[in-house]
Amino acid sequence: LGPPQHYTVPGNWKAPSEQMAGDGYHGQSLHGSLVDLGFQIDRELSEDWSTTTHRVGTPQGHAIACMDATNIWTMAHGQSGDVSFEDRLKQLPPAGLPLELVGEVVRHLSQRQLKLLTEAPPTVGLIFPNVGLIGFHVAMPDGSLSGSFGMHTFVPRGVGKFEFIHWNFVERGASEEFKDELRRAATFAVGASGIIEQDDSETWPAMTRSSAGYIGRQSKMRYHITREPRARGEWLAGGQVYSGYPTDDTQWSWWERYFDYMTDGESL
Amino acid sequence: MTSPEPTEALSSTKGPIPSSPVRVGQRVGSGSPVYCRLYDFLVDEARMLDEGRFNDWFGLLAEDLSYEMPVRRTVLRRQGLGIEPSTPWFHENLESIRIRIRRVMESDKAYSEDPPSRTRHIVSNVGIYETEVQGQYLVQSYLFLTRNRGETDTYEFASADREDIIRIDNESIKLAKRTITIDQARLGMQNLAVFF
Repeated sequence: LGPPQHYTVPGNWKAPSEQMAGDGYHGQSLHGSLVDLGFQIDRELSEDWSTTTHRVGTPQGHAIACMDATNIWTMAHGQSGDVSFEDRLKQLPPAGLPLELVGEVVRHLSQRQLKLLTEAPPTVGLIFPNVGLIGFHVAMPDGSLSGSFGMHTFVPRGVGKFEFIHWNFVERGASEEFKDELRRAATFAVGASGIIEQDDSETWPAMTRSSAGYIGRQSKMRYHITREPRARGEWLAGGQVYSGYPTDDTQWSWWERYFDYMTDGESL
Repeated sequence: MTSPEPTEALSSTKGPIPSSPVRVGQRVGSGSPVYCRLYDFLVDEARMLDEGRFNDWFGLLAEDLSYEMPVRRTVLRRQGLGIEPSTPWFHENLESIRIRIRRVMESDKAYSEDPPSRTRHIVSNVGIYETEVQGQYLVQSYLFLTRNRGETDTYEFASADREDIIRIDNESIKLAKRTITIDQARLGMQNLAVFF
């Protein structure tokens, strides 16, 4: 949807990359202004959000967080959640997809894929080492929900500096009205001016400055909330799945792969 | 020999920015009462933004506000100015500006501007034209924005051409449209948490 935004952030590219590889904590603290604005229904729900997520990692350092939407359908339609995939998609089309193209999705995906898409929709992820994925619904000023689907890359531009490149995506067959709605939602929420991501790009430079100082260099970053992969319910796709309360596993996988590249497999 | 037709406003935008074509009428000469009033408006709003008086600034915005800032691309001379409204830096109306201001003024977690930046909105090269609507003026200005944050000893800069539609109705004077054409293809700011 148009050319990308380019902007320079005075921080280390690994800060945003690692964050997008599964960080489940910063949302409640860094993005707390959204709760203050009433953009999330209540504080309890916002704190619960991270516990109803499947974090999917791989040994290669890729990761994606998928919302556990099972409860949405059982709450809306009883324990059986007995509503067709097409109807589910019509009620909440994936970010970037207009309602009139839902039929195309149903025609092109298998039943298994549709079940996954409706019960565990992807939200934020990272392709190792530095390509971020964002797809979620944004609360708009008028109270409506609007999808925003995009990609980031974090390109190192020398010591302590990276270029943030942000693309918005929309389905090719969408109407001009839908495209403009998505453009408005994306600009409002993500990228340089978005009320969500402008706070992220405040913290990455601060993290970089802090870690470069005498005290910061001696501190250990702790990634000790780990456990064996375990999916809640039946997981229909690949990867190592960590459902429920966020752990550090997927981010640790990112660091392990980075470490392998930096040391060519040799331990220090 | 016919008198020169009014020309289209120097086109700094193309694409889907909502706009009605604005005919440039007579130039409003510097020193005239209307020029001085509009110039004072630009100076006052710059000071409001620099002093963090965003609610006062909000009071200067019209109900049907359009506030746009397209990205720039580096293109060959023959390809034009490289202005791309299909990807905006800002694509705002009154309601979205209201939410942005509420976030900064009412939440203590709007970290991108809390602690706030120290900014200077330096406005110059003001050119004013009548439009086809009585009391509505096309106001062009250059903006040089300096921004310093935290304990850093460096500044972030932005320079831009602004094209405004400003309405004067007796005592009321309101900004109805602002199109900001920034000079950087790669923005030299860590975010756009400030207004232009």
